[in-house]
Amino acid sequence: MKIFLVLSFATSLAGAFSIPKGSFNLGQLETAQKKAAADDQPLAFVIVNKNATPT
Amino acid sequence: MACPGAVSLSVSKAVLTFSKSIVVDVSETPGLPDKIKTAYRTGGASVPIVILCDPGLTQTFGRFDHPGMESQKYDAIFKEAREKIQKSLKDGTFSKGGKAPVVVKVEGTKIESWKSAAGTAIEAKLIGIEDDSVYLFQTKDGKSIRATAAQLDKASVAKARKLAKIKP
Repeated sequence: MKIFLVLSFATSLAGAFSIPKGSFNLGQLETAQKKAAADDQPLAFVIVNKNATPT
Repeated sequence: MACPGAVSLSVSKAVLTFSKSIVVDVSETPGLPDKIKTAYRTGGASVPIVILCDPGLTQTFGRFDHPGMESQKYDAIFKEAREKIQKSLKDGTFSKGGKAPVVVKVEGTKIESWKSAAGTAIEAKLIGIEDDSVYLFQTKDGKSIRATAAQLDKASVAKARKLAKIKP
């Protein structure tokens, strides 16, 4: 029972998808474009289900 | 077999090594730039989906969906696209943008309450709408806030468009 509770708690902590540091959101498109242009890098649109839990 | 959640996490980190990454929830896809929206709608719909393009949004270098990235061997997965990017940089077709956004300025508005799609509220004044898709606000202390229509609730979008005298 205790193990089950610990596992449930750990799973809930894992939660939904978290955006990696350094990524932008759609509202920051212009900033991302400017930074990509300055660094000669492409833009990568990563379309995800932010509610998905990695397993 | 990696689940979509695990691939989403690993690919969003992998693309940061060679690009500027914009993470978009599936619910926000109506707010994507037209070229990216077209690429998103073309092909498999299993998320995560990665679309690589130049900063000027003039060309795409690759589109990858969950089945194509399930192995998570990103060096191999993005190899061809990265070669296209290098070629584009060399031959000068890599657009860095520079096209000025079209902003419909809204003047004379007052600080009022605006709601996000998630139900949270901000106190700010609407100052403009950029490219008919990004809503620009300024808070009482001068902080700028940008929000797409997908990030705002429908009533706030309708109110903003009415203030800017733009068709709903």
